[in-house]
Amino acid sequence: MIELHHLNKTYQVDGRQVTALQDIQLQIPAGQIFGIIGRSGAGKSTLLRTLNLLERPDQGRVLIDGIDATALDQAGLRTLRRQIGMVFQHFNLLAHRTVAANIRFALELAGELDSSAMAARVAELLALVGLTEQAQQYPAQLSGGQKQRVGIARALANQPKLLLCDEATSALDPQTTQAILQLLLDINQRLGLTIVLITHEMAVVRAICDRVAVIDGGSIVEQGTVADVFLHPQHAASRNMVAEDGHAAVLDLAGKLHSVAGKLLRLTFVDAATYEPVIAEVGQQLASPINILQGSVGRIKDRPYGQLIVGLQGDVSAAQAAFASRGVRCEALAA
Amino acid sequence: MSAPLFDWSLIDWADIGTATLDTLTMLGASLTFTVLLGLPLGVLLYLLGPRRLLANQPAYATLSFVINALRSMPFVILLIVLIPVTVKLVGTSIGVAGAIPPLVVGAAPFFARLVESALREVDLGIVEATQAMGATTWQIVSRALLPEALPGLLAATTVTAVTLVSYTAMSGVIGGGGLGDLAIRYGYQRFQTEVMVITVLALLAVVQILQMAGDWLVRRATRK
Ligand SMILES: Nc1ncnc2c1ncn2[C@@H]1O[C@H](COP(=O)(O)OP(=O)(O)OP(=O)(O)O)[C@@H](O)[C@H]1O
Ligand SMILES: [Mg+2]
Repeated sequence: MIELHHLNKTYQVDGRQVTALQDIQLQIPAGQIFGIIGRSGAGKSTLLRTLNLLERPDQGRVLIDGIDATALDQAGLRTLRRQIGMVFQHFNLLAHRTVAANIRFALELAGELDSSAMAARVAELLALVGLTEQAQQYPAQLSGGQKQRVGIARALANQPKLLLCDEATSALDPQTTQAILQLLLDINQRLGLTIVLITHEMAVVRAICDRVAVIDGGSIVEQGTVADVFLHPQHAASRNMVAEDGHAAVLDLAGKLHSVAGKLLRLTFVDAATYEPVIAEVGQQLASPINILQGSVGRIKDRPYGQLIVGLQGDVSAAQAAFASRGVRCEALAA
Repeated sequence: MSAPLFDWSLIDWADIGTATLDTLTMLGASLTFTVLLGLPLGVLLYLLGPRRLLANQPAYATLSFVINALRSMPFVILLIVLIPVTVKLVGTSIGVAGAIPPLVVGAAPFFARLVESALREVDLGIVEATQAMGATTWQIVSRALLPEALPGLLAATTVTAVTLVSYTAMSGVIGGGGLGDLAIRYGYQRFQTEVMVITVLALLAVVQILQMAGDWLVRRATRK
């Protein structure tokens, strides 16, 4: 469990003050994949780097399993860092070391294993990330996805309880991104470790995160389960991000749909409700046709969802009651 | 029939051999001490630099100034200015031994700057990743920065070695021994052009070999 209390960070740039973090309050439950999403310059990297004190906040406390990381001395901090793995957008592998030696590097620095134990651990990690064949190659000979697998293996070498990912997939193509995300999900489920990842892509959050916080201008403007934030974003910054993602029916279409007769409703289905013929049933019950105007269906991590904007001729409150009784959230949109 | 341009029979090949050996001795010893002194200095310069691990503006500015001052001093002047120090250190200011301290003082600041820029070539991301793994500053330098910068450091050493060859030649001015000394004593003062030609060729060969060996080492160390 990670708790961030009132974190503030300002940088001096050419005599000007740049606020990178502003009163950040965040709780990250153990064992989850926690996403932090925001635009470029929103403060994502700065926030992530405060978790292992690569960046020291000006004010505030970083509690990791109850230990205040900001109060640790250098030696204490190094011990803490060994229990926190970190994965980077540009991999940051050592060019002069082979894949195996890059992974061993983390073990060498920790200095807890003898060389045969290190070799065994490296072999285990290579198998985990599927790079056994490439053990003796140098980073320059690897593809981006393979490099990131090395980065992940290295981050896991000392059996951390927390993994920090700074835009781990942003330098990768869509297919490789999916493969790396699956690997992270797999690691989270198999090893039970907490993952905090930052990204500017909603798709990454949708794919693997349990909870998400939206950061904008150095402040957390919204947080919650991914389904909540994704399907019902409250803050303008979140709404924009979800809209750009294009996978949820959140665009305010009222203006564009004024030629449609009747009332506009937004229906949101999650989990079980997505398997039922809800629209047809409610249409029958109300004896009025329901006109689907826009919508999307998909998955948020492993939860199926659907979100539709529909036009309705009949009684809105009756429709809302009918949908609610079937576990579907129904909001009337201003027409 | 006119006299031949060069009369090679005048050349004392044993002298040339001794002088070459002297030059190589001066080069080897001064390069060793230059690296021993310049490498830590270069690392320190890097670490104190803006946004680096031990960033410290006043300390960086001071060290930087001292290094610049030494580097801006013409080597010939340095040779003469350093005579008292040299005598203290090695007991003489002439010959092979007397040449080594000024060579090191002349080359170490130059090498330190090259080390600094070789280290700056290393991606900061690597420093950050190593730090995130819980490394000490010493581990970051010795396990990540220096090995990653090895090709650059070898190139810097090669450039420094070549520079030292020309410095050794200049140290002939104060009777430093070696090929430069020979060129000045015979070639210049006694008008034996042949000796001049041979010493120039010998210096050229030394520089060529150094450069080729250096390039080969750099290629071998490069994994990019
Ligand atoms: N070392 C620094 N010195 C000065 N300003 C900085 C520094 N690091 C970050 N900043 C500033 O702090 C703000 C937040 O930066 P940060 O890198 O955390 O953003 P980000 O959300 O990670 O962006 P990106 O998606 O582009 O990586 C930016 O305005 C940035 O310019
Ligand atoms: Mg960033």
